[in-house]
Amino acid sequence: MTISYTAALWIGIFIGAAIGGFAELWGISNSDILLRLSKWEDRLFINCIAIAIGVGAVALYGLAALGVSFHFGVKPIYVIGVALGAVIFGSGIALSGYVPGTEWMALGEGRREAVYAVAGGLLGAAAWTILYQTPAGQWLVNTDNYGELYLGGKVGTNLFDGFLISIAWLALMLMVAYFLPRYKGGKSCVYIGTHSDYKMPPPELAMHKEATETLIEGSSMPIGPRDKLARNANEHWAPNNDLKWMLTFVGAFIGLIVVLEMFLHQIFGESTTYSWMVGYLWLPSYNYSKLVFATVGWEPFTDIGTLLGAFLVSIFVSRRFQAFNYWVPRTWKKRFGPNELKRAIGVFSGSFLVLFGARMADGCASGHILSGDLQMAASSIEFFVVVAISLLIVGRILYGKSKGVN
Amino acid sequence: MNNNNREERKSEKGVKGFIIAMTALLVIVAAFTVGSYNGYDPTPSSVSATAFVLIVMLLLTTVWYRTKYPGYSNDGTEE
Repeated sequence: MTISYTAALWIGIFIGAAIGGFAELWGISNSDILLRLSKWEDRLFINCIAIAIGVGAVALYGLAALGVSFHFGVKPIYVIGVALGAVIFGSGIALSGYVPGTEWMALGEGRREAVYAVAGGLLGAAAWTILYQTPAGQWLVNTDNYGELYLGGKVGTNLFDGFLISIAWLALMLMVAYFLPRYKGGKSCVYIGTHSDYKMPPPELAMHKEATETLIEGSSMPIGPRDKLARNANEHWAPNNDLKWMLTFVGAFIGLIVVLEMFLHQIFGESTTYSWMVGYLWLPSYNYSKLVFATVGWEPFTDIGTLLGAFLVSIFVSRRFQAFNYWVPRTWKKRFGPNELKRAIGVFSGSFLVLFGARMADGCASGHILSGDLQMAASSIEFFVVVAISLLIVGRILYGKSKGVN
Repeated sequence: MNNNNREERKSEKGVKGFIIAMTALLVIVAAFTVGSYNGYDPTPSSVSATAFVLIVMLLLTTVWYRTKYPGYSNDGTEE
C-alpha cells in the first residue's frame, strides 16, 4: 500500500514559516554569518545544515523504503552548467552574505539591505531567463546532462539501498557537525551543546560573545531584564541556556520539515519564486518562464511563509527586528567601511550573482544544498562542493585571512 | 542616531496583538483565494493578495517600533 498526499498550495505558508522561524533563531538571516563563513571564520551554517541533511536523508529513504510516496526533487546533473552556476552562486554569497531564502528572512527581520538584495536577485533571475533560450544557455543545461541521479541510482529507484546509504550519509554528516569547530581552535555547537561540563577558553568565549553582538546589532527592539527568551535565543552558546538543546539540533527539525514537504508532494526551493515573479512581471513569453510556470508548486507561498516566520520570531522571540535601521555587517565594514551606498551596491550585485547562478544550476541553498543533499542527489553534491570552493576563494580575496580562537 | 542601550523597555502588547491578527488575516486570505488547489503555478492574484497583507503588517510594525523607540538601534553591547 502506498501512502500519498498532495497538499493545497497555501499550506506552504506554514512550512515556510517553520523553516524561516528556525533559521532566524539560528541567525542565518544575518548576512554577517555567511560573510564570516566565506572567510572560514564562522562555520555555524555548515554545522547546522549537516545535521539537517543527515537526519532528513534517513527519514526520507527509510519511509520511502516502507512505501510512503514522496515528491522527490532531485535536480538533473548537467555537469558544466551546475558547476558554473555554483561558482557564480558562491561568489555572490561572498559579496552579499545572502542566499535566496535568507533574503526573504532578512526582509522579515526588517533589514534594510534585504531590499537591495531582493532587487538584485530579481534582476539576476531575469538575466538567466533571457540567457536560457540562447544557444549558450541551452549548451549549459544540455551538455553532459546525466539526468536525475542520486547516490543510489536513478531518482525514486533502489529505495532500500538508498536507505542503507543514507545511514552512512548521516554518520558522515554527524561527524562533520560534531568535529568541525564553529570557530578555528574552538569546539562545534554540537560538542558544546552535548558537553555541559565544557569550559570555553576566554578567546572562544569572546568570539561567541561577538557573535551575539552581531545578532542583535541594529535591532529596533531594546532587550529588557524580563526578556529571558531573547537572551536565550541570542546567547545560545551560554551554559544553562534554556534553548541550548533546541538551537543545537535545530537542523534536525529543519531536515524533517523538508521531508514533510516532500511527503505533501510539493517542492522545496527558495529561488524559483524569483523566476516566477520575473516571468509574470517582465518576461512572460520566454521559454524559461513558461517552464517555471509549468513546474512551480507552492514555492511563492513557502517564500511568503519564510519571510513571515522570520518576522514573527524576530518580534516575539529574538527581538532582532531592525525596522529598516541603518546597519552594515561588521565583516563588510572592516574591509569596505560603513558607507551604506557601497554596501547597497555590494548586496545588489552579490545577490544578482546568487540568483543568476542558482537558476543556472537549477537550485540554490534550499533546493540543492539542503533539499538536494538531503536526497543525496549527485547534482547537489557537485553544487555544494563547487559553491564551497568558490565561496572560500572569493571570500579570501575580498576579506583576507580569517581569525581563529588562538 | 541614538545607540543608547539603556532605552527603556516599553509595553508592546498593542503591536503584538496587531501582528497576531494580521497573521490570521494573511492565512485566511491565502486559504480563501487558493482553496483546495494543489496543482502547479499558483495564481498571481492569490500570491499578491497574501503578500500585500504581509507587506502592510511589516510596514506598520516598522512604523510602530520607530515611533515607540525613536532613533533607537542596538549597537550590539549587551546590558
